[in-house]
Amino acid sequence: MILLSRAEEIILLAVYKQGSNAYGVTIREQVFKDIGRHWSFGVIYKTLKKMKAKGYLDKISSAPVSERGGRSKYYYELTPEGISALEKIKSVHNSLWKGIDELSIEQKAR
Amino acid sequence: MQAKKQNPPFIPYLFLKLLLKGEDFYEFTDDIDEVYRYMIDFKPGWRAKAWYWFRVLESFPGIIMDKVYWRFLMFRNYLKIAVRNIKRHKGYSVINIAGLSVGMAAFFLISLYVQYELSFDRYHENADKIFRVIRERGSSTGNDRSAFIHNALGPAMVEDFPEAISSARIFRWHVGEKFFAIGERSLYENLYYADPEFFEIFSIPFISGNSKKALTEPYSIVMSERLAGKHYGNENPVGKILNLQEGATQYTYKITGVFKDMPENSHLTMDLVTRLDKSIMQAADSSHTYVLLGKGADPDNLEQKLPALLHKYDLRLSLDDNVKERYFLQPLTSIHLHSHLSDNTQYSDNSDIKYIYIYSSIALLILVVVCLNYWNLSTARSFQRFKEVGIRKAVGANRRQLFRQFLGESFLATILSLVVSIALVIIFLPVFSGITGSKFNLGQLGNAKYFLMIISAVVFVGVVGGGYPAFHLSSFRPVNILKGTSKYNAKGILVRNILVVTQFSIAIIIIISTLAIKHQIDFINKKDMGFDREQILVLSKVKYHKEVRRNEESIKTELKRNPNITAVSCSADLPNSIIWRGNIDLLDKNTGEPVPFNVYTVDHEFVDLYGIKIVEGRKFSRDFHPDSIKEVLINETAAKVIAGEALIGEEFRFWGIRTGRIVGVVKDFHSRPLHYPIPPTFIALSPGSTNYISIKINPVDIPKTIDYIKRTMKKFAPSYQFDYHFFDEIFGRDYQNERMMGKIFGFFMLLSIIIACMGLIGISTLSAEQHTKEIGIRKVLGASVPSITGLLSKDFAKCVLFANIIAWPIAYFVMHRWLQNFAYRVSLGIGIFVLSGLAVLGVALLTVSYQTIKAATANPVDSLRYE
Repeated sequence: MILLSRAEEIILLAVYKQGSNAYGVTIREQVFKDIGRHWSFGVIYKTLKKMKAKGYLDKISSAPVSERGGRSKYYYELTPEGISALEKIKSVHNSLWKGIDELSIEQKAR
Repeated sequence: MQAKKQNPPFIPYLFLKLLLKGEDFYEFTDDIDEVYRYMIDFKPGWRAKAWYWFRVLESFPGIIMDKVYWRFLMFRNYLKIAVRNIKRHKGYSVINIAGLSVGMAAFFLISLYVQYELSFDRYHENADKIFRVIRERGSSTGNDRSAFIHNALGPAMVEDFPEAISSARIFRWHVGEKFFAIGERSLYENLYYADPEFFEIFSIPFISGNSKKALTEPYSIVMSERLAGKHYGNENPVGKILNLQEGATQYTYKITGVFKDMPENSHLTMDLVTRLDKSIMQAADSSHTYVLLGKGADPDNLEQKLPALLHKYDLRLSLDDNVKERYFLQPLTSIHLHSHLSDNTQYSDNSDIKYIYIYSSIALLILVVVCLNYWNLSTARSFQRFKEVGIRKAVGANRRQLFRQFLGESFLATILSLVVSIALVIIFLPVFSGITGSKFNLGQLGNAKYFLMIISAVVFVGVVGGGYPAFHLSSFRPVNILKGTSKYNAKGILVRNILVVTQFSIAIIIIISTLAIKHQIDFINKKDMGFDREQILVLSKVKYHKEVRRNEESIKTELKRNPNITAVSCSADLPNSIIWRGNIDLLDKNTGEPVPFNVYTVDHEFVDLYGIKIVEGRKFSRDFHPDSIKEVLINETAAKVIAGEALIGEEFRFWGIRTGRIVGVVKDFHSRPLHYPIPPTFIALSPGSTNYISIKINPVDIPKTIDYIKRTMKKFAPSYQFDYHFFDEIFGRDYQNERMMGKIFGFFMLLSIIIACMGLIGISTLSAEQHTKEIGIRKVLGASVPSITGLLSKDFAKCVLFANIIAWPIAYFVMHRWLQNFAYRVSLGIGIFVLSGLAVLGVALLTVSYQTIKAATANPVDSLRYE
């Protein structure tokens, strides 16, 4: 399996954290909460689309909503493949950072 | 209910509408509007609007990247499918691509050649302002165009005409090679004499020395890089001395510069140039003259002023006022292809634009044939893919997608062909450049832009060619296809037939032309020229070796001692080419004008050695007194036109001061190539003006004989650089162009047949498959294999026959025109036409036979099963 990129990881986790309320706006807010920066809508939707194409996310259209002129709202949900992709990246992350508490400049065999 | 309900700013909204489509658009705008509406409640309007603007603008990169990504993905998919499809129909694909590549490669090679020929002399900075002066002289034998102009014309033009900025003359002795000594080494090089202005007018950069000052001193000489490298290695030769041995005199030249080699695509290449000074100009009154015109100068205008100028300074070359002379300014860039000068009237042999036309048309024809082929095959194949299209459409593919996909396949095939064709070009370039005699390589592609244009044109053709079937295919209605009601309609068949006929007509035209050309070449080879060609070895460039000429008799005697040498002759010319025309005082009995003779100066043995037959009178007599009357032989043609009663014994004056007496008449021989009629010729006995030593040898132990000759020459004339050629080789050079044409046409003939056949293979296969059912039924009803084969082949045979009908008149017309170039030519017999027609028919039937026989022998059970 190809590893998730950083951005993909962040977005998928945001979807996860938002649970059943993960749509464009909330995902963007979640990302901001997680990393402290606002990403553009464009980037967010782009990544969501790609994740869906890869099968990590499902896109669900809700029932028509009046504020949206009778159109549906689109929610995102993690699929089992998405979950395992996240687990994989997590274990990779852990094994990468294993045993490193503090980073130092000195060159020595670790 | 909100207190204010404001809409988001319009312009960003519009942008989004343009960039995003459908679901994506609504998702984005609805989400962002949600936040926007929330914001207006507690923030001032302008801040919310600004926020909106920013969010939209910053999203652009993401949106665009997204689009790119998906487009790329789709492209990659189409590619995968196209590749898969091509693999599926491997046979056709290979044929198609191979055909297209070969055709494209041929086209490219020809384009390179044409491009090269057209690029001559354009590298000079002033190229479009440099003109060469040409003289046209009308006389009883027709127009005579020459580049030899009176020496004073150039300077006169510069003096009198403000538009002529500067002029330069170039001069070279007839046989331009001179013999130089550098220490112990000797050089044999063509020596040119030029005005110092030459290097200012023409852009020839100097590697050492100053181009402006190089030829200002008398006896200064400059050489090319190549020559300097050859004789001086890495040393700089500037400042060194070059000694020229000319008869008894030794001239000393000082090297004042080295210039960069003149490029191959120049009409004149010089390696050694010295200053043109008065002594040379006194010895010879004419040279080549180039003028540089100023900006905005009108050459036509200038041309018109020339006659007045010529009259003012009396610069005409003809002594006879009855001979009309006209002068022209020939643009530098047109010299190579448009000179049309008479033989030997310029220092280099140039080509002719008509060859460019011929080869370009052929290249275009080949391309047309190939593209037709491609078209044909693609279209025909498209019928095969009915079912595929039907199913796809039923499953949900839309027309656009299908069209794009078929186009993609065609595009891919074209690109592949392009790649293969480029590889072919690279491989065959040396062979091709050998055939054409032009040395060019890919590096000399003058114009990258031009090449790019070709490539794009070809790609365009290939894509459009495959595009029509794509268009056609994608329009099929699934219902028809699956029901099997769609079939080869009448229009499709007509188109197919037209394409086949065109291909074969072109092939037939080329075959007939090739056969005609080869016939003519054969004729040239076998024709009795009136002189012998075999077993004659020629030593040339004797003229400048005083030692040889002084010892002529001893050399001849010594050579004849060798049992394998049967005859030796010294002469100023060889029988197949004549340079020297004389001013002879024999009058034409019809016009009263002096007969324009071609003159040979030879020794006693010449006529016998070359087997020239005497028909009247006698040979030269042995008792020859140098100061008395010169014995002369004339040819039959001359004999017919000379006025006066008795020919033999007639005396006349020639070359101003000498007297000659006609002692005999020789049978006409071709002193000029077969393009020209035999001119009135006379052969004067005049030993001592030797430039060639002809040696007739026995065909045994040739190397030994050659060695003997070499030793003999060394003994009597050690400074002579031994260089020999066989006469038949020298003779062959006259027909270089024709041989080249023969080869090129032969190549094209093969090419066009192969391509036409490839097309036929594809079509016949498809046609046979189309008719499977029909054949099955016929067989069941009792038809025999031959009759079915005949049925299938009939259509194609008809096409080929029709192609013949179209091709024959065209081929006849073209070849007839070409043959007009020759005063002595073969006639276009019906045999060539019939032969070509039958051959093509045979090949076509053979090609088609495999498929037709296979179809005819198929088991009806199998073919009818698909009901």
